Amino acid sequence: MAKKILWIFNDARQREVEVPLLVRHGFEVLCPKSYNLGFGDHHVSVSDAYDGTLTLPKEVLERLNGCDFYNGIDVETMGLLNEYFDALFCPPIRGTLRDLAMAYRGTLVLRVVDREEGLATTTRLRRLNDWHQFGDWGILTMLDAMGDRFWYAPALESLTKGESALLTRRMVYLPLGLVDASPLDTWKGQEKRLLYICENIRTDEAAQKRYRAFKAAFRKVPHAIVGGQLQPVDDDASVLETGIHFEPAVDACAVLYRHLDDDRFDYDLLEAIRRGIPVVFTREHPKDDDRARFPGFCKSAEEARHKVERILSGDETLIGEIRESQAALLEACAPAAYEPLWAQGLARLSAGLARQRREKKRRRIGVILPAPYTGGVLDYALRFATVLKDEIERHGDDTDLIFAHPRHKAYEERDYFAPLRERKIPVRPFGFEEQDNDWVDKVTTLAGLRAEHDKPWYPEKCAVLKDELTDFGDCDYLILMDDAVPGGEDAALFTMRPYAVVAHDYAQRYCPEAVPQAAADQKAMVQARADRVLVTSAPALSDAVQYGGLPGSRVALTPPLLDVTAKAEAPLAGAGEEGDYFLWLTDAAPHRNHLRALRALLAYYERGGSLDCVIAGEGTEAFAPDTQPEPQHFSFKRIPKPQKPKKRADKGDPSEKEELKPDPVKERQAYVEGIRKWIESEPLLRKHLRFRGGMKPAACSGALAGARFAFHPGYGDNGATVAVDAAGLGVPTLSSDYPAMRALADFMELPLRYMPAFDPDGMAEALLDMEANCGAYAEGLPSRERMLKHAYRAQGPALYEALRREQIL
Amino acid sequence: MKIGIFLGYGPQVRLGKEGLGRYLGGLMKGFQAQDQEVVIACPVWLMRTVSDLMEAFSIDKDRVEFINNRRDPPMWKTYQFSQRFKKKGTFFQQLRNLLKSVFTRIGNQLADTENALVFSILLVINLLAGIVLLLPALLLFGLRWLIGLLSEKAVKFYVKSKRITKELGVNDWQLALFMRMNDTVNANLVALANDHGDVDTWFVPSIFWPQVLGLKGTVVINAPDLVTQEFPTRFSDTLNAENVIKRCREVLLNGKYFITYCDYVKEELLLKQYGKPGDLVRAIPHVDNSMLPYIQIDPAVQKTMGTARDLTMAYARSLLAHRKPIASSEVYSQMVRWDGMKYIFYASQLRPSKNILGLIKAYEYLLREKFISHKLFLTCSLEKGAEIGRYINEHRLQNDVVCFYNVPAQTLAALYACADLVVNPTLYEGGFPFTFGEGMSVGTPSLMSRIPQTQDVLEPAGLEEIMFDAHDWRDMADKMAYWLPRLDELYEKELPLYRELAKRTPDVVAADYLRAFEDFMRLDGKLPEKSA
Repeated sequence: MAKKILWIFNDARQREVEVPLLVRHGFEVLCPKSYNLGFGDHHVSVSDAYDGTLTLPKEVLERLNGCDFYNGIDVETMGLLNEYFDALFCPPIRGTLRDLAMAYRGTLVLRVVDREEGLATTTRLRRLNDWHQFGDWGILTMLDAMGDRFWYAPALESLTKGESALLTRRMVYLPLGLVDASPLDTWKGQEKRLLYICENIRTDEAAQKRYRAFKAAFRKVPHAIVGGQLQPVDDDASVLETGIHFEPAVDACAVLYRHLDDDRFDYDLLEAIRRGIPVVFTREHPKDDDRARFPGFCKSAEEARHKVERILSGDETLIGEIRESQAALLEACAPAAYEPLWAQGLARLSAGLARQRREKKRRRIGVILPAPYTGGVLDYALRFATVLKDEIERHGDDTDLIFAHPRHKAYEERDYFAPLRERKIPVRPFGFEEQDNDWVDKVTTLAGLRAEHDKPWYPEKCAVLKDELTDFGDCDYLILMDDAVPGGEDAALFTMRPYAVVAHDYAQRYCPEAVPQAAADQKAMVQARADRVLVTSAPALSDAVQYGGLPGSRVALTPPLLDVTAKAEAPLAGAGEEGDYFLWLTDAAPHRNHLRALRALLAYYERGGSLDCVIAGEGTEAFAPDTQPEPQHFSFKRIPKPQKPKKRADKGDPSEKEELKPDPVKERQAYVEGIRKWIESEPLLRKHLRFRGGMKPAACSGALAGARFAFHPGYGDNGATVAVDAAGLGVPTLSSDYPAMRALADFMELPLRYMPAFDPDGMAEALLDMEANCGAYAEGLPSRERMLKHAYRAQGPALYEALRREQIL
Repeated sequence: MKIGIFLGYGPQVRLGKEGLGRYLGGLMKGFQAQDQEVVIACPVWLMRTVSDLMEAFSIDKDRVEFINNRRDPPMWKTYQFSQRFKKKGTFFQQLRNLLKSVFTRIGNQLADTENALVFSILLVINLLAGIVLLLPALLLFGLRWLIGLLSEKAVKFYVKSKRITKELGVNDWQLALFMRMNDTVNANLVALANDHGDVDTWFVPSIFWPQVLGLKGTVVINAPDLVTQEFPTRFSDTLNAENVIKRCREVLLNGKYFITYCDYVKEELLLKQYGKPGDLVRAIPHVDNSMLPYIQIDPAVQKTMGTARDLTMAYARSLLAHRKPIASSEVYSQMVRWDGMKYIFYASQLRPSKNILGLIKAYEYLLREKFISHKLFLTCSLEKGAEIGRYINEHRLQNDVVCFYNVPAQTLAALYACADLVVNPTLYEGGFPFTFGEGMSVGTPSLMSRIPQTQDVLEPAGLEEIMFDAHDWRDMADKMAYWLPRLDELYEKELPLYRELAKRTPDVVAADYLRAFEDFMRLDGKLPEKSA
């Protein structure tokens, strides 16, 4: 059966040449019927002329004809491509290439027909957007992993140079040309005018520049301008035709001026030459090659104007010489010139197709805990890995899972990872190593991913994952369980592997005191370079776009992985707490809304509230009156790194900068001390508050089980799981009202009593209401069975499906 | 009628980037459309920005006459030259690069040599050549340093001896020299304009240049406002404000005919404070500054491309995607994409009277306590506004309050078009703010502060509810919180007023100006009285 090719281009002129060639070489070709390209390409169109060549089921053809292949390819479409298509011709569009590299099992031909701003294709793929120099090696690594199923097919001689080893070693040169390069000689040139072709004058900055340069050089020469425009050009005197058909103008005008661009195939110029018009041209960087010997070639606009004037004044000798010389340009683009190269190239491709292995290669995914957490993120990571492993086995996928964590004392003292080993997930410790830009250049060159002369920019330091084995080179894909990077404030995470990262919340946006600015910037960098950012709630999804600045297509919503504490397994109610109380589980970090909550508590007791408040959580014992503050008494869940002075001197007044960068450790101490003193000065609070500090999980569940209700005055996080734990024990929760908490409660079907997070009076009212009605609130809670439906063990399919949809699995 | 336009701006001004410049462009086009002759008197250093403006507004240059001083003052040229030198990197760096490339070449040559004898000869030659080359380079470097040092000393000495700084009441010697240079240029220009002779009315779009009082003929001066007088303490940081206002007052005091942008400024400033007779002052409201032409895609093209999506909005978004703003956090602004974001927008330069800090406070409240997910986009430069910059840093808003500084008009139009809401918190304006029409022209509704200049327009249109108390950011925040979920309703509400304002095309406004000019000329006895 004939091999099928999906040819993802919509340029009509390119289609006329390439598709018939492919068909002649025995391929069936599908051309896209929907496009959503950039602006100002006046030559794009759709054609169903080649659908007749296809032996596809009708419904498949119809489906594929409805697809826009330019903005990524979804799983269902990918399934059809894998089933029916042997090869794809794809332009260098990051989103689409990424999906194909991850999930397409046939041959991928990266077809490049131009070069933007002189950038190598490798560089173009590596850059996340148009201006910045950050390296994103993931997509190149993905293409590399395709091995002999990947080809690079440049369309111009100039595109074959300066690329990375990844592209050059898989190169087939398939030059662009004209369907018919024979001279038409329809030119008359009766109008003594200079013709200039310029598209998109008002909508494309580069075109505007060219237009102005032309106007400046040829202002005094009678001229006409043609070319497709997106906005009307206010130049009635010279703009003749704003459509793409300007053949009559070519035939009528005496001479054409053209500024050559070696990085593009110049259809307009060649078509004009076919009609016989003499062309005077200049070039961006005059090189000493064949073209420089053409009589129409000029080194400067000045020289060009001189020649144009000679032609306009009827210098027949010059006109004759120029027209005669132009035949050579046509010959170079004639079918006779490019067809043999295509025959050779397609033969190589076909040979590859014949021996292509279509089965999916065994893949390895690394689940990585990036920092030495011991709290919620660790729990999440363990659940993530085990649930995923279960699902992978259930589906019988050829995927291995490994788990990696940083080397740390905390993990030596206690074995957190036993459950993983039980599930046969290899656990790999790793460390971080600091490196610089030169090191990045070196390793990316060694890996064959760096274009010649490409200088990607990293901050001064890169944090490199070192596992004493392959530095995760054996993994096809990494999933980071958090967006933090240890290893100094100005270090960026470096890995050549494509990775997804879980962004648990964007607390830095709502409670800036939660994360120092430098760390917030690091998070942004980790996320920006991620192949996918995984979030666990709708508000976090919105923040990923609005704050993280990520395109929606790169953010994926995954289910939260929560546990429901079993009532029966819980230790005896109270766990040592006596009397009636409610539990406030928090920590000593300054973004937990302590101050407003304490004011609310004071108001609550002043208005006759009778329940005691048990305050528990890491570091909260330091809030207790009569405790002597110890330096660094409170503990961080993440181990803080000592700050090193910045090398680069900041501009401006140093003292002012210093002021803006306070020492976080000192600041926290002062914060805790302030809270402690305030509590100390209020007798009512001293009477009713009990400080328990960090509790072991079992004790914590016990205290929760004995509480009348749980109190959660914080905000800005991704929703507090204490509400879920409490509900599991039949205890209701009074919580601040913020979008993420509502999302979490909705997910777990929990009816929470909400209170305003910024109004101590409103909080006090809610506390009084809670005291009076907590029995009723408790009755409204869902049963444990109902809650278990949403717990992490039940989320495996949803998680697997989410990763499947993103084509990570 | 032959209308002279006098522009005495300094060389740093880029007309196309400022609201006033675009206003002038529309006016000139309007004058031409009504077959009036236009003469422009401006220094040579403005010629480039003037012709850019004319190009942007498609004004026929051949139908405009120019009066220029013959050439730029040598001091300006010298300054420009030194700046050019600065941009290319320090002299030392250039020297180092040069030497590096030379040494690499020599090294390569030596490495390629296989014959020992040839190698030795080359080595010796190169060493000698190196010494010969290096010495002059070092000498050059030293000499340049010396000249730089001496010239700075000399200029300082000159300034001191001439006591220019004292004479002008300016502390900074560079600024003093600059002002003196600009004054001289303008005075010369006035002399040239007077020699020219046949201009019917001189129109001066600003009150910065007292020299125009020397212009002969009917001189009509545009008095936008005297904002520094309204907020003296807030403008105390502004460089040279005290000297500028002195000049403005001189012009207000001694000028004869004035045009303002609204009745409020006419009444309060010119009639009440400066005692001008009512018939010598005319209030002419702003032109409709439509942003649509900058981004609208030709509907005919849309048809031929056969695509259903709204190309105009898609084009606007693409303009944002390719624009790198100045956010306080450099790393952040490198990483993120701006085209998919929802945001609130205010386009304004940084002036104390613009109340940008109030807007930021209202936004911060909405973001942090009401959890709206929008960003706030501005167009001012934060580097120039220490107070605002400090606030943003201290409150860690640098990733949510983002400044697109110095953007071309097309990007400005895109910023308006992609915004959800335009909020103008200003405390004082010369007329009804442009932001309303600029936003509405591309489909974005506005909320505005309640000041006389907006009340005059909004209250008759029944739009009280889109105004907030400019002095109370909570009121601003409440209004924003109320209207953000009701943007379509807000747009519909404001549409009738916008349709009315949109009738003020450049032609209509130009006709208003012409009528004013004629009336003033009649008062000067240059035109016969209208017959009743």
